[in-house]
Amino acid sequence: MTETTTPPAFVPQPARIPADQLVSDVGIAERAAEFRAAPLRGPYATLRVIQPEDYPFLRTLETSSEVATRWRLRGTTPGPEQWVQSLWNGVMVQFVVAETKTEKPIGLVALYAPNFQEGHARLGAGRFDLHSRNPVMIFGVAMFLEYVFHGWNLRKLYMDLPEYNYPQFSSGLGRFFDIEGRLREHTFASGRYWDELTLAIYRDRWQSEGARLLGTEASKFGAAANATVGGAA
Amino acid sequence: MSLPLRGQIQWEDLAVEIAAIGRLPVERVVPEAGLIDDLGYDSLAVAELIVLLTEEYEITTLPGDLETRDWSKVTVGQLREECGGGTA
Repeated sequence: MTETTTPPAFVPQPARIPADQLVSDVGIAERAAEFRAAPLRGPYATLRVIQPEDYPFLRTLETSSEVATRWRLRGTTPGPEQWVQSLWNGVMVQFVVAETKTEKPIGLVALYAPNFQEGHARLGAGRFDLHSRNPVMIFGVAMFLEYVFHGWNLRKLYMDLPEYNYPQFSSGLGRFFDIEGRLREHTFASGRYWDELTLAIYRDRWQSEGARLLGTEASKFGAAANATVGGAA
Repeated sequence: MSLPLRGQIQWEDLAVEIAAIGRLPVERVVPEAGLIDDLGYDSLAVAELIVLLTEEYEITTLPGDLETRDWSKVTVGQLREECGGGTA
């Protein structure tokens, strides 16, 4: 018969922080001065919250143009109420990307399906003019990534997309993102099957490499000081 | 590569930067080459180039018409002229 031993009882240890520091505010003012909000408005791109007034325009765009087959709806045309629900389903934060100069909406960015236990979430980004090579949308996405990594302790973001959407930003492979998943012939569109890619954007790489895309947006023009939710709207 | 000069970029430096962002051999970066059609630039690469020229070389005139510009028609030679670069 094996002799069993009772584990020692847990005895709480007294706090090692001196009592006078537990109740002091030493250093708080200095730390508070370091707080800054991520910019939502830059010289070229502005992120603004989606308003109900945007719904007709967005729904028309998402269901009646080439965007319809390339974006999340993949050519389906849900009813108005169902469409609004799908727009916000699982979404944590979402903005319209607009040109700062003209206030013209040029795209959407969204963060959805966050998993704070594992430290990741999914990123969605799409421009309204699919054939444009205008870099303003890129500046908007860069500002959004900064907003996300600055505001939440997420270590990586996934972006799922069919391979036919990949060439729009493929130059960033290995610098801003990696391809971490590939589902062969996963998506049917335009008469054939396409691979579905999962890109991964890491916080540390973004902060060392990607954040330089914000150079013009945030630092040089002092956009942070003018940041407002809603921006130019 | 020489040190950046404020407000301008020498041709050889511009060619090297364009090649680096586009992951191209520098020999392909010739004045008549279109950024998008010939060199395969996407909008992310265009954004990188703009930030580089604006931040590193302080070329402030380049982004003037960023929103309306048709980047599919921009050639390396045009960029060189706008950036005050030397001869090729």
